[in-house]
Amino acid sequence: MKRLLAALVLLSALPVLAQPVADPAALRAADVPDARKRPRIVAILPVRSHDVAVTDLFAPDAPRQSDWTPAIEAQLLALLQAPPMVRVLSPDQVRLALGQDPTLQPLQQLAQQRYRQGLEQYLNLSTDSATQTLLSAVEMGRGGFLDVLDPKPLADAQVMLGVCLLDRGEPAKAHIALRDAFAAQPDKRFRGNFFAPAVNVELAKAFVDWRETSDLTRPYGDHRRLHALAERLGADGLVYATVRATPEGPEVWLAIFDARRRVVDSELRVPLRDSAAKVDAFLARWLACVPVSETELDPTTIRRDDGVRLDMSGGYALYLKQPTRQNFHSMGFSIGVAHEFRNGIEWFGRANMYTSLSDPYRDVLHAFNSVRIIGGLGFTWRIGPLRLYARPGLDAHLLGDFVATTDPNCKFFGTDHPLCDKTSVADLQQRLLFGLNLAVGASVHIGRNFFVQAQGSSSLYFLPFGGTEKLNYPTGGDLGLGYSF
Amino acid sequence: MSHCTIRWMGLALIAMLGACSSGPDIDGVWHAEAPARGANNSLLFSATQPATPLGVELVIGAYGPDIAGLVRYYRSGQFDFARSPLPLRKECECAFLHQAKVDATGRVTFALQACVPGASPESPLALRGELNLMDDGRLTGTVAVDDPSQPTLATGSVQLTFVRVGTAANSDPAILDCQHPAALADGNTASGL
Repeated sequence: MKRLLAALVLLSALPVLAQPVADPAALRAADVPDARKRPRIVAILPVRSHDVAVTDLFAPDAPRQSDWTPAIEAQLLALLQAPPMVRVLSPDQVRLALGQDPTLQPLQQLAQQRYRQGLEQYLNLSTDSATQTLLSAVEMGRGGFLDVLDPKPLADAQVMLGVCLLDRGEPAKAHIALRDAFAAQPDKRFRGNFFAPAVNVELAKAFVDWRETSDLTRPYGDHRRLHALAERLGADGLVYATVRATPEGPEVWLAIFDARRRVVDSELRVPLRDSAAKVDAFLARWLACVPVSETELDPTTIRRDDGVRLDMSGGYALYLKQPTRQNFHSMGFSIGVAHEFRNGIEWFGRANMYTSLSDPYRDVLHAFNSVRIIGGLGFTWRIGPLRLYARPGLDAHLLGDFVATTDPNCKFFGTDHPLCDKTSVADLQQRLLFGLNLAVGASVHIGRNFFVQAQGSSSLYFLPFGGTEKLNYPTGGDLGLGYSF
Repeated sequence: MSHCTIRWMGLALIAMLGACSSGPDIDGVWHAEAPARGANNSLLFSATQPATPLGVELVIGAYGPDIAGLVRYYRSGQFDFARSPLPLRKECECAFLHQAKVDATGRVTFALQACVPGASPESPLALRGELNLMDDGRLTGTVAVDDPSQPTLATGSVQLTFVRVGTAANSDPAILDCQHPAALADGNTASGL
């Protein structure tokens, strides 16, 4: 009875085991009951900083007012990582995704080639050819989202396009091109003697025009372009910000583009110095209104459990073949480890420690302990939130002091007593049995990396030959708690 | 998984294991309620010492429907459910139970193949006992001769009522000691082994 109570105490203590630090990324969507729910993906685009004064446009070495963008990007990242069911792409991850996009890479590379080619053509006084080449470079650069990935080459191409257009006597088009250059790279500055004075004048005009008329909530273009960018990133929303210097201090313009609705959903304009709380509330409001989407699970994209799974279970077993007239009960605990090294295939090992209690007729002379080691290869499947498995393996079972008899005189007076019928005594003390084991079970994640696991198993012993006819076919179940590393 | 679920499972487990005990509880050491006395009970009393009170101890180990145990006799004027330092006859101190069973109603049957204190001659005698577990926890019934080879004792019987004075009878090796090494004159041992 003490052992029984100890087992129950162990079972009741399992749910209150200390939990390690949360690891949100480790929550597997396929393991939780709301498996079809997909985290909302929010991409933070690089923050634009309008901190170049007109007077500094031709003073590239003049100190900038301040670079506020890292702080704002870090703030946005921290605020968006906190809520559940949100997966955030940082500006660096956005750049990485765009830079590694196999369909964008050719455009990006070609844009830079065309820029260099157009520059050569301009220097060779082939202004018309240069204009066409640079137009092509700008289109490809914008198509390849160079303004997000690396705006300098795009801005350079646009400046040179504006210069070519000026040479061709098209100042209106040149103004637009130069203005777009500042839109792509707001902190662009020039050496005063690099271009002709007339070009510098146009640059200054374009810069002033852009500073005064640009829409700070649309730094990356119109809705169509933002939607295309969101699709490229697989994002449900784009968060982007522009910070600009004002006489009262830096000011943040924040906007969120909803990719599903294809609209700029929310906008915020707030002084940088007290922006944290307001930006937090702004983002929280938006997230509260964005539904969590549900998607069909694609079996090919379901991530396999590539971590080691460790579990501890309480167990019960009985022997389907036994020398006793009634069943005797075995209870204990087991520790298991498994690792899915390929999709659907895992290796596993399990150690069981059981205490077998006497049967109602006390044919088992006394309670005994036994140890089982089981190992092998298992197969796993997923059905909704359940992870099912079948584990065929090898079983080595070391019996403890197992002595059984049906003769009451042996039980009462002892097996050495003259009244005891020795032929009725099954003495399997310290017997080591070998055989095959089959376990089937299921686990379900209950949060973070924890899972609940239940399994049933049965063994067939065939070694030693002639030594398994009295006790065989242990069959039972385990229920426990596990952690996936 | 909630605590309630685990508690429910624990209770179910306890209930399942609690159902394991079977049959009436008759394990233990039993003493005859009052020492038998008088010459009218020739089965237990020697002709040479007819008036000496006699204590009877029944030691039982029950295993489901099966019973193992022994009967031990004491000569004592003050039985008082205590072991007497004066055995009635060294050669006829105790006897093992044979073919002992208990059914679900508490009816205990057993056979003895041994000497009894009052029997004459003191050679092994076949007896059959039948006792019933009463509501008040006592065992009461009859031990009778069941031996055609002893026509003079064929109708002999004795009524006995036992009160349990201890449990876990086999925890004390002394209580189980009934192996008298000395053979009787006719070649049998007193305990019936």
